[in-house]
Amino acid sequence: MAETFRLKIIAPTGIFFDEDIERIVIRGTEGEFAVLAEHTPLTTTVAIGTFNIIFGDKKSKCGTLLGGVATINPRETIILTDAAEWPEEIDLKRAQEAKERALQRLKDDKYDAARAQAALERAIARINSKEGL
Amino acid sequence: MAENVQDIKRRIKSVNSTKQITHAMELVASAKLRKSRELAEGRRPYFEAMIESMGRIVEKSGSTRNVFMNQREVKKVAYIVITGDKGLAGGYNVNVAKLVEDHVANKEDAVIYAVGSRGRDHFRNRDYTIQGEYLGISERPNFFNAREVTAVVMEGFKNGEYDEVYIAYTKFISTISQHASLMKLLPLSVEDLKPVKKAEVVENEGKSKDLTVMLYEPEPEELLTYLIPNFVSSTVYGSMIESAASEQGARRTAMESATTNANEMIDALTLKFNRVRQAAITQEISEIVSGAEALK
Repeated sequence: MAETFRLKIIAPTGIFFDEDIERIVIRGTEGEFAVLAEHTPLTTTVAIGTFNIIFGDKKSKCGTLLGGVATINPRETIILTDAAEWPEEIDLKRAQEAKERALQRLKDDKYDAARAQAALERAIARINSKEGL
Repeated sequence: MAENVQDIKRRIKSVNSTKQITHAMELVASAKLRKSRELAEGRRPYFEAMIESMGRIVEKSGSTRNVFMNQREVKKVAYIVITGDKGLAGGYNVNVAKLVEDHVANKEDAVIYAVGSRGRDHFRNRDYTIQGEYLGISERPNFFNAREVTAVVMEGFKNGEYDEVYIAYTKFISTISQHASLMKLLPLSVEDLKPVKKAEVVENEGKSKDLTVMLYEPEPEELLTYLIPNFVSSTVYGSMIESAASEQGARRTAMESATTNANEMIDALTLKFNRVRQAAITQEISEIVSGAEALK
């Protein structure tokens, strides 16, 4: 069994995840990256997207992170996120509606483009994580 | 014996129905209080982890050039006032409003952002400038409400509309004790982040000795632009939750004493009722007796 490390995902509403894992793949703002045990200390931003956790027994679990900051230490990684979700918690229909709405709003000048863009990214991340299940 | 039996009976009835209402409100407030407290506890880990990483970054980048950390000459001050949407909570709403009023040096230089209609009404009636109002969220605030308020305030601060931002909320000490407090939100002071940082260093030394230099990607300054709004939002969110819990606590206490008062009143009225009734009976008897005497 490969070496494991502690992963904590903390959202404003409470601790979302706190277990020993072998590997996590996250989408950072600078690109996708994987974290293993004994990673060099690093603090980086997390983009809106899916993450994939691989446990010591090779089981995996994926979910959605809606942006945040990851603090990586050799034995422990802490992700502070705005919100995190498991695919079970995602309503696919709602996400698809949100995607449509965001696309509409991006075409329209009336709405704040940055907000619509963020909403679009969130919706896409949710759909991806749901379909990846 | 000015009052007659019927009047007193009616009063007892009316006090009793008021008592039932206050008692029901007390129960509702206790249930809501439990929920608010759970929320408040759920926030803590995020907030602590946030302070920790902020402290580390601030230490690393030394003096930051971030707008939100720069002290400047104070001309205008903004206040975020967190109160409830409803009354009947004892001094809960008034205490917060009073605190802000005492702190304001000059009405013209103060800007109010009111969360909760009670606070808004209070300051509107006193001719303060109300720049924003957020109603209907006091009871169950969520993080996105807090972020919305924060975004507006931070924008104003950045544009120089005001040079300091305070938040007035009610600290939740225990179910029977809440305290109105005023906290400086912006500019952030580097000193605030320092004590936490020291504690964390000690902890880290115990955990792993080979603590190599932390890398930052992107630059610390850029990370701060993400962290600061979230830190402030988190602070605002925390204050909102604490206020929500305090509101329920204050209401529970107020309703509890109202129920006790109603009970006392009913006791006093019942005593009076019995006396009046007895007096009427006594009078009747003496009338009959004297009537009988007269017939002899």
